[in-house]
Amino acid sequence: MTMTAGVEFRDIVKRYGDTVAVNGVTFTVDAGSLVTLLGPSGCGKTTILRMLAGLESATSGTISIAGRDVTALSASERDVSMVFQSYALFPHMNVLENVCYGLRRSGVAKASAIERAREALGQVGLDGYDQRQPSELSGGQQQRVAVARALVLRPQVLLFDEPLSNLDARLRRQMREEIRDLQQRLGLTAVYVTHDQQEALAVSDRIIVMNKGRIEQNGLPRDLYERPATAFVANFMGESNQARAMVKRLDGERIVVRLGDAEFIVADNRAADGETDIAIRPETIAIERGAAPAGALAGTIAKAAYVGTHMEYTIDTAAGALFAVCPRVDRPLAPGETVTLTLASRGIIVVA
Amino acid sequence: MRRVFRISCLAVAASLAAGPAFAQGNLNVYCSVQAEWCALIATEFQKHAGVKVAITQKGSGETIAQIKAEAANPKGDVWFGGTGDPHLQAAEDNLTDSYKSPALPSLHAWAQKQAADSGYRTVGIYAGALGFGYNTELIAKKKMTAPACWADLLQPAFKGEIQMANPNSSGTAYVAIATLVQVMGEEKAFVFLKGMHANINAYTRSGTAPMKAVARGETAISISFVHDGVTEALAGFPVKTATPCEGTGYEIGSISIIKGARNLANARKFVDWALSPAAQQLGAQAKQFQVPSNKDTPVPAEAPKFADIKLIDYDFAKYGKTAERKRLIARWDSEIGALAK
Amino acid sequence: MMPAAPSPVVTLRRAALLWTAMGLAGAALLPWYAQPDGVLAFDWIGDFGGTAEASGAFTLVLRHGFWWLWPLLGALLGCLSLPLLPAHRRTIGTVLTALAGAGLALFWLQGLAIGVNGWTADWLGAAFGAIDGRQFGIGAGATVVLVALLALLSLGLAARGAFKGDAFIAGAVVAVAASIVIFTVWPVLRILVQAFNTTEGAFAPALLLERLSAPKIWALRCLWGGGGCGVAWNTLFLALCCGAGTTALGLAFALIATRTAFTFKKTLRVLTILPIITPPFVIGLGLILVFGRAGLVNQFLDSAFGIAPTRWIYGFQGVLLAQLFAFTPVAFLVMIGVVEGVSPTLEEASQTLRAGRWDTFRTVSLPLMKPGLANAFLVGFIESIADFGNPIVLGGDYGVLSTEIYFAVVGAQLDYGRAATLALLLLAFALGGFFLQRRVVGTRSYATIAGKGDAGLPVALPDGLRRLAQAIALPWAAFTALLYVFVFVGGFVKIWGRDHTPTLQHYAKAFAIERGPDGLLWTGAAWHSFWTTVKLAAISAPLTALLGLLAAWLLARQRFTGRGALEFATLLSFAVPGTVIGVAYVFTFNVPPLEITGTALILVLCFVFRNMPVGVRAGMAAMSQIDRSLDEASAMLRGRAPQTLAYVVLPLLRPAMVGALVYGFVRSVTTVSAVVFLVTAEYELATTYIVLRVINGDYGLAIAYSCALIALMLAAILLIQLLVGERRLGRRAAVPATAPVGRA
Repeated sequence: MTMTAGVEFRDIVKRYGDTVAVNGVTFTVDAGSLVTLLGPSGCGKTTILRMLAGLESATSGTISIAGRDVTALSASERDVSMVFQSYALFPHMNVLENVCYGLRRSGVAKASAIERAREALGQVGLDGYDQRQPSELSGGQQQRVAVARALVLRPQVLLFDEPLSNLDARLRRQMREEIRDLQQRLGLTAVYVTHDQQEALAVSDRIIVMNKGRIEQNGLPRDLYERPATAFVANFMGESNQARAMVKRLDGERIVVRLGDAEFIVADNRAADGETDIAIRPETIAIERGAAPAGALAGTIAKAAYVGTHMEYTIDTAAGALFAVCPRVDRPLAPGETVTLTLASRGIIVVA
Repeated sequence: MRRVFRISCLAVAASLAAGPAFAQGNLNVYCSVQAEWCALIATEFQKHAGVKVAITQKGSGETIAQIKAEAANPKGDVWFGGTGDPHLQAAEDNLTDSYKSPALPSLHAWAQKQAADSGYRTVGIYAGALGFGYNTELIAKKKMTAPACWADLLQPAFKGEIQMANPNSSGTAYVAIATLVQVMGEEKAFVFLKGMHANINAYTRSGTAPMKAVARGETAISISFVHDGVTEALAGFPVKTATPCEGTGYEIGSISIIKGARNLANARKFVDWALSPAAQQLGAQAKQFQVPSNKDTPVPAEAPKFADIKLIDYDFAKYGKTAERKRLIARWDSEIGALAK
Repeated sequence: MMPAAPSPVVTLRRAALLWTAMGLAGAALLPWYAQPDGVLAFDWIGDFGGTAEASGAFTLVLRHGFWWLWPLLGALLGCLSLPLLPAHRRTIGTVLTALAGAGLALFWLQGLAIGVNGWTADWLGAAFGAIDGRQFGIGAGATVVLVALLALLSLGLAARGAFKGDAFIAGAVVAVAASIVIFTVWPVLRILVQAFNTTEGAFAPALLLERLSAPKIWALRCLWGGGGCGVAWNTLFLALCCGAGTTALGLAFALIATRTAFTFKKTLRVLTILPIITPPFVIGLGLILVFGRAGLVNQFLDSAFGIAPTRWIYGFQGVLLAQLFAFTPVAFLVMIGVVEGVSPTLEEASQTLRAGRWDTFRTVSLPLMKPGLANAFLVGFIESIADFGNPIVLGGDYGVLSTEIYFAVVGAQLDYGRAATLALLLLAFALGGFFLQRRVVGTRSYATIAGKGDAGLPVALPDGLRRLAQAIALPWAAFTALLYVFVFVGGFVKIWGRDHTPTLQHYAKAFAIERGPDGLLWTGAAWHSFWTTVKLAAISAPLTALLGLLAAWLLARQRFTGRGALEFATLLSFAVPGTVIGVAYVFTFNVPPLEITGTALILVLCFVFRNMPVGVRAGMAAMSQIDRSLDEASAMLRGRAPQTLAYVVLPLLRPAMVGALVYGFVRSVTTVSAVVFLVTAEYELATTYIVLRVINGDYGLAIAYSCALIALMLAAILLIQLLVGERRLGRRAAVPATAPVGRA
């Protein structure tokens, strides 16, 4: 088996005419890890993936795989495989022919190509589907064929371009687990593109959040969620309430954040004194019935929605409307009720 | 990529394998008469001179276009047949070579005169008179009388029944206009053309089209070379021809040696032979009934007799010149061609 | 296990040295100039090196003093220095590009500067001194060197990172561009330059304006009844009507063929193919026989109702009718692929959105077919303005540009300047059509064959539309059938339209075979031209399809500088009328360095480059419906560009490939105006033979021969279907008993 290898992007710029799609991006992917490029559409994440694949050429900068400069190599000369958003199954070939395609092009003899293709189909749970046409398969099955087709080549790097966006929610979770499982089991280096932060959090070793052709933040999934570096990341990684607040430093480790009449102590070693932007995670807001005492944050329920596992509330406060979720569903609050809010320290993030 | 190149290499090599032939004892003839005639000439000359003849048949307009295009590196040696005007034009454009054949003295006066006029760059091999063709069935059905004179063509009975070619594209039509100018004088000729315009149903692009339209009954009358009518009649169509009583012009089918010919000696041999009675009677064998230029060639019985035709002394020297042609055609364009129908 | 790939620099060096060695071997071992009897005659071997004509390039330089070959050989020799260069792709690429580019430039410069009579211009002699030598057309040796230099240039460009570093794509682009420049752009430019020259050949740019502004071109007298309109308006009006008409008819036929359960589909398909495979003049003559003044219809009206026969068929109406007959099938071939390509899922989606069948067709299917409609219109439009055979037979007074050009060249005027001016105008119209089409299609994506399986069922046509399509197509088909019955009968009667005694004499005259002492003797008059035609068409059809689809793929899928220019250049030879191309070829290829007049090669090249544009258009239309990610998936799966082309693109392009092959073959058999100047005694073609019979009034033989050609082309089409096969898309068939077009 080919050793999986690390990937390095150095100062990559991609221009289309006057438009800059990728603006000086540098990052590395460790061998055997799965890194996700996350961001809204048009942020440049797919362009980066396609440059790594060799489907686009970089305007400047260098791309290396396993320490070898591949910037000028064509797609078929790089040892990478890709799973396409549209699956891109060849409509004139059956499932087995689709999976064999890459092996045959690499010069593998027919008999052993078929054997390896069957094995790959088995890995994705598609035994016995050899002779089907792609059009006879469900979306999930087509997705598995696409994964098997890419896997069977045992590439140094495996690329996923929004692979789950055409599947329903249940299938999406199942497939992302399978992909993660396969990647870890086979020790593959993988680069994964998505705009779904939950998917990104679930499958990644590291996440790179992109915005307008630049990297916003590159870090561990947990860090990105809990310590987003910018308002953009905070907002993109899960739900958050944006607010302005006065900040005052207590000591090197802690600050006081003032919202309305209430003050909260937050662990932080970066923020400076003064008014600043903060983000408040909705699941860290605790809600109690009744009017607030002095020095606490008071609010009125504006909207309430029951979503099965929890309640979702919109609450009007002195710091603006806050969105909160509450795991207690047995005695829901009604719109118009007065409440007192308590914010957990970990739920308040200074993002300035 | 390699495979594509390999294929194209093979194609190139295979085609190069069949390059043009320039061996000694060859003659490349551009032939502008009818196909059977061309074929007869090739085989007979081959027998006569032991020279391998490659013959390419094309209309005279196409041939002169080709000779002009090939002028930098001529591929043909001699041009046989076709209306005299393009031959004269080729002479004027210095595309053909001067050659005084020893056979010249045995030719009719009109042929000798044309050769002298062109500086011996071309010489006539046959002549055909201009006249009318008419469809006998249509004439009878419409109770018209067949035209016998130019003046008859102005009769109101012929409204929409006459076709002639457009002189912009057809040498035949130009001969007709030049003839009228010589018969009537230029001013009267144009008054006549204007008058006839009411009876014309189309000025066709091609010179032979009107006669074919007559044969098929698409029009009653055409202004054409009369020997074309003989061919149609022999093919079984109800076509008869007449020549105008006021006098008419004619074309001289000619032969020229192409300037820069690679087989010049053979080309000259061919011209000498083409002017001989033996060669000239091949036309009749191929059912073409022009009048041969050699006085000793027997005139085919079917050919329109030149003796019965009132021929004018057509001034090839004047009306064959490019400048005069351009002037007359331009005048026709502005005074006739632009008229409403 | 994956085989270890050699490093890219090693591969690059190896390929470059291989091509260099091939070029040098060709230069040393093969005669540089064309051999009178062809390289395969091998008579040069005995004499090799002795005379200049039978020498390789090195012998020429060293022994015969042809010093002007030194620089270009030097460029090639320079490529041997590659192993000395640093192992850096970009550096090697730059050196290769520079050397090969210089070699190519020198190749053409010396070829154009020195001809059969030494220097081609006096100032060259003055600048470089007198030379003792002359050059004929390039031969095998020079061709090998040329190919090697082009290959080295491609390798160099790819190594510099152009074409995403793919040497195959670089090579394909260079090969396609070079061949189009040499065999289309160069000849066309040579003839168009004449527009600036006086008839004597002097340069006078002001003449162009004078020629262009002639009232014969632009007059609008017909609008207020004062005579005919200018040829430019005539041409334009005719072309617009023809484009619209053929597109509508083509769409009607395509809908019936794919979306209805019409019983006689196969018959219908053959009928729509017939006009394509009909030699020139036959449709025109057939129409005259039916609608002419002495034709069936008029004679019947005359005898039954006493309506006086008219000559309406001569002029605009007749030409348009004939063109609709002739070009609807081409539109049909373009439309069928497009109608098939519309994704049934989208139509199903529309139906679930409360749209009825008619609304679905109007708002979903039809807009999805827009690129196809625009393409079909463009083809009809350009076919019409380049058409020569129909206007010449039926035009009467109605002059169009193509006939005017023909007569400017071959008529009494012999005015290349005027011909070139009119050709320029015609080109401008073609250009206009091209840009109009681009505007209509725009940059929107219409991909409907995607990598996701498509399980939808094609939606049946709304009743009204079905009836409309049938009301248009069926009478048209019936009429076509009638016309062909006439033509067919015409070959078996003594004189067509006159003496209807049955006879076999025409066929006997053309295709007699006698038993001689040494076996069969092919004594028929037509055999020679028949076999020449078959051979040349069989050679050029695959080349046409290959080059056309390759060009289509490059244009549709690759991004490179000059792509738009290349796309336009592919259209160029199609838009220029045949006569102009024919004369241009004689002008350009009668003199060194490419001296190929009088050979079969020039006919093949003429066929290939004239017919390729349809392959390109059909290929691009089909390509626009195939999702780009399929190509990319193949590339990701180690499929190099040629493999992607062979295993993914071509199988999906089968209908387009069939179309291009059929068109390439059929057009080679039926084309006339372009080859009139190129045929020789040795290589006479069926059409030029037929035209001469028509000119001689020998219609019986012409028709008999035409029928034989039609049979030949039908056989060829069946063979092509058989060889290429069908496209498997794994879609379910909704309407039973369909045999999609191009496969009947």
